[in-house]
This record gives sequence, structure tokens and C-alpha cells, in this order.
Amino acid sequence: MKRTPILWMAAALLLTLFAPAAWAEDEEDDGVKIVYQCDFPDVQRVHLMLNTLNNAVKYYEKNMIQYEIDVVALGPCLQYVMKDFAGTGFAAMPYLDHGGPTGDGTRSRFKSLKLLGGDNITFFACQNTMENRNVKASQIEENVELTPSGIVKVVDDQRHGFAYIKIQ
Amino acid sequence: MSTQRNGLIRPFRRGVAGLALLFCGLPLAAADWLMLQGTQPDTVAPKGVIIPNRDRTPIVWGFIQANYKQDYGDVFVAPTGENKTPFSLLNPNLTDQSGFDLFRARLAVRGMADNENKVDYFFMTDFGNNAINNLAGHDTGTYLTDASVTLRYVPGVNVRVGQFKTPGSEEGLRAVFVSPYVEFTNMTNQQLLERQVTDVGPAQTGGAAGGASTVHYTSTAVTQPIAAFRDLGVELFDTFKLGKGWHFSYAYMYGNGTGISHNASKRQETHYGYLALEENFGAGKGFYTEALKFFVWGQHGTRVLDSTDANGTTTPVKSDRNRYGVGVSYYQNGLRAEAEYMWAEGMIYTGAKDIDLDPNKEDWQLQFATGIENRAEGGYLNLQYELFPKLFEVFGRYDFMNRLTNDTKGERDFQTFTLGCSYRFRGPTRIDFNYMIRNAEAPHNDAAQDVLDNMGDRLAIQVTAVF
Repeated sequence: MKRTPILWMAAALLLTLFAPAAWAEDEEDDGVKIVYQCDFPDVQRVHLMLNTLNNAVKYYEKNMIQYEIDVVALGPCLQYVMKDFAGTGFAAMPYLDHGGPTGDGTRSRFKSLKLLGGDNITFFACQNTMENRNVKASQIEENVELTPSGIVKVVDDQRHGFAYIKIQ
Repeated sequence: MSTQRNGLIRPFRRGVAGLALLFCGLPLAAADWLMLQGTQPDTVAPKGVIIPNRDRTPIVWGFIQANYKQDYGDVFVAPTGENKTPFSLLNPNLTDQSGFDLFRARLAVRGMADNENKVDYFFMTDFGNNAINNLAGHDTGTYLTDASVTLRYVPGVNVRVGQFKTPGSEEGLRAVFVSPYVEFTNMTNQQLLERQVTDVGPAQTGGAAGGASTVHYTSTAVTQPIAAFRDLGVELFDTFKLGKGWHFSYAYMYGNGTGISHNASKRQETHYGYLALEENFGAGKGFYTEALKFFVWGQHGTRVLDSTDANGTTTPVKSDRNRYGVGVSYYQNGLRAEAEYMWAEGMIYTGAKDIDLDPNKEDWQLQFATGIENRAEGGYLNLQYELFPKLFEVFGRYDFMNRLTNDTKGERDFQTFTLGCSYRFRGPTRIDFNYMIRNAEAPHNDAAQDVLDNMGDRLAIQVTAVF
């Protein structure tokens, strides 16, 4: 049977209608991707960042939404992912182990967050900052990965579709 | 009892030496008092990031120490009216055996006077009821304890000028408000914490000198404050990094030898020296710096007493006043261990003497043996442990002093074992409980021993607030 031009047109119209929906489903399959830029020293801002991270991770876990979160620590924020401060340009401050919502400081909150999010959340330490502040790789917490440049990592993540968040 | 206590002394000395040897094999360090008190920090980390310290804002701080003490000894007044038992009475008034005291109330200001942290200053006052303002019941109101300027222009040589703590024993050099012990050790209290007098009576030996054959002098007026481990002069000092956390400190001071008595004369000139080797473990600040420190110190000075005899003739009496010490301190994971051995030669303080013949009144004067042949030795072993970190601490300290060991009849041996606990509210703000088991002996003088047998234990409770 010979197809008429009208049928071809109808098929093209259907494709036009349903294709965007199919692409959208593909995007949902990729999950949510967020990059947090932490380049500030203020402990209040760090606790606020941890609050938002906790809320996000709990929400995605509860709703079984696939997600990927990168937290990039650079500049003064590097202190929050360090375990040893000897000989570095940072000082071990009391707020690392005291204060905050839990009373146990930021260090334990970062660890709890990692336990909660598992492989879905990754902390990165900026090697440029480490070099400038004389921080060795062995002085960074075990659950933290190194990235050559924290700011480049943030830009690369955004180019790959990560939503960008920086706590003000 | 006396013989038994005496037998404890030598084993204790061996114990101190053993402890020092034990620590030789460990990585150690402690608070660097020279730099902490003489300079502003080179760097600060207000938000965790270390930056050069350029903050010229004066730092106002201070502390208050109020205490209650109860002495359980006996008071003995001789038939002639003199009170023979100053050791049963509470400092500084030496009138009662129990009571509350506002022991220290100090207000201080420190900071940098320039923009480069090359000119630092330290100023402190004391309004408490202690031997600075009320020595042995005499009004010696001084109020100003420290006023100094440190110049930091020459690398390796900080120059401190003014009135400040002299480089010396750990017990004296440390910030006084951090120690949980309400009273100093016997050696420190009697032979390092100098009573300053100028006018004295005639030379004394025998009965007037506690049976001693060495020459003693007793003051006729107490007008100057206790030296409070301080002097007026110039100090050269610095601390150097040796790598891997180890530091080396040195200090030399030349002072008037007049304590904090506001005296511009150098006729009692005194040289002070201090060396320390310490390892900082990286945690804590100030007194709570986790560290191990070995230190050695010495001071050599002259003292001049104006002795007036029965005929009214006044003669200057010059004597040497030398002090030496060696020690170690360690603090880590809530455990603090300290040991120090000290010895003295020349001018030796032999105690307060009541010269008022009214049995209901006391006029305490201060007595000294002055010859270069005179000796005293003493030391302490201190252990503190934080059962609950930074919250609750228990401690014990043994200390001893053997005074005038060169004089058979004049020798007096003191031992105190202090037990206590401390509850910290925040930092050094805390409440301390001390119980002092005290004993004194006159090993070759029965009459003196009868008097010393009146010595009893002592309870002290002290609240410290640091702001």
C-alpha cells in the first residue's frame, strides 16, 4: 500500500509532540547534580551549608531520587576538611570539635554527612590552597578527595550540568 | 614521726631524678612563658587562617581569686608574749587561722604599640589582699606589678625593659592564675618569693636566731612588698625553632634586685639566666599547651641590709643571694607531670618573727641568715590528671625544703603533701579544693621541734575567674 503525504505529516507531528517528554525522562534518569563551593572561613556559613546539604541528602534518599553532590573546599574553607594542622597556614580552631547544632563542631557533621550520603556525596580539597598553605595530603581527612584546582572543579561541574550553590 | 618524714626526703630526691630521666626518652614541651608574657603573638588565626598579627587594639584582661582557708594547727604564744607559730596563721595578715580572702584581683592591659609588632607592652595591677599589698600584716600597698616594653627589632634578641617576671623557676614564671594549687611550695614560698627589707637590727645568733650559729638579721620595718618573682631591669630573650616541634629558649636579665618596690637603685644588682628546651605537641594554648619542657635557671644577686646596733650605729651588710633550679614539665592528654629541684645559697629567709611582747598582738618582722655559707634546697613533684577533659581534674603534689642545712641547730626541714581537685567552668575559670598535709622538723634542735609540732594541716578552697 502506498503511504500518502498526510500520513507522513501525522507521524512527524507525533514525534514533535512526544520527543521533548522522552528527553525530559532521560534528564531525570541522570538525577540531580549539585556542586557546593565552600571558600569562606565563617563557621556559621559552614554550618548553614551543612544544614542545606543534610536536608537535600535526606530528601533525595527518602524519595529515592538519584543525586550527586560535590562539595569543593578551597581557600579558608580548607581548614574544615583537615585533620592535622601542624606546620600549616591554618590553626585548629575550637569550632571544629565544638558548637553547632549537634554541639560537636563541624568535623563530626562532615563525617555524618558522608555516612548519610555515601558515594553520592564527595568532598574535594583544593590542591592549590594546600600548596599555598603548606598542607600535606596526609593532613587532609580520609574521606576527602584532592582536586588540582578547586575553582576549576566548580566550573567543570557546572559545565556538566551541576547546579551551583554557595552559601551567602 | 619526724624521723619517718625525714626518711622520705632523700627517696623523693631520687624520685625526682628518676622522673627526669624517664622524661628524657619522651617527646615533651610546655608553655613558653618568656614569649607568652613578653611579646604579642607573631600570628593570629581569627577564623582559622593564620595571618600576621597587626592588631593594635589593646587587650584588657584580668582575673580574680577569692579563697577560704582553714588551718588545723595550733597557735603557741611564748610566756614572753611572742607568737612563735606564724606557720599556723594565714597569709598575708598572719593573724587568724580561718577566713575568706580576696587573694588576687588583677587587671592588665597588653598589646602592640606600633604597626609591625615590633614594640609590645604589658601592664598589670593587683588590688588583692596578698603580700604585694599587705606583707605580714604591714601595709605595703603597691598595686602595680608589671609595666614593661618589649622591643623586637633584632632577630633572635627581644629586649624587654621595665618591671616584669624574672626568668626563673616554672612555679614562679608561670601565669599564677592557671595553677590549681592555692599555696606555693615551701621552697618557692620561702626562698624564691623574696621578702624585701632594708632596715634590720643587730646581728643575731643562738636563741635569737632559732638556735643557729650563723649570723641572722631581723627587720625593724616592713615597708616593701614581696617581690612576686619580679624585678626592674632589662631582659634579652627569644625562642628558636629547632624542627619537628622542638624549641629552644634563652633569657638573660639584669635587674635592680629590688623586686616591685619601685626602687631605682641598683645596689642590689642581680643577674638572671634561663635556658629551656621544649617540644610542642601542637594542641592547646598557654598553660594548656601540650608539650614537654626541660629547663634550667639561676640567679646571682647582692643584697644590702642597713643594720642598726644597740648604740644606734648603722652599718651596711652586704650579702650574696643566689638561687638555682632545674626541672621538667609535661602535659598531654590531660596528664600533667612536673618536677623541679632548686637550691639556694647566701641570703636565706628564715621566717617571720613576732617582736610584739603583747600576747594579744603581733608585729611580724622578717628574719634572714646572710652569710655565703648558708644553704637551702627544695623541690616538688606534681601530678595532675583530668578525669573529665577540661572539666574535672585531680592532683597531688609533694614538696620539700631543707633550710640552713649548713647549720646544725638552725636547720629546719619542711614537707607538704597537697591533694586536691578542680572543677573548670571554662578555661582557667574554676574552683579548686586543696588539702595540705604539712610537717616541719628541726632535726637537731628539740626546743625548735616543740614549736614546729604545732604545725597542722590546712584546707583551702579557691574560686578563680579569668576574663
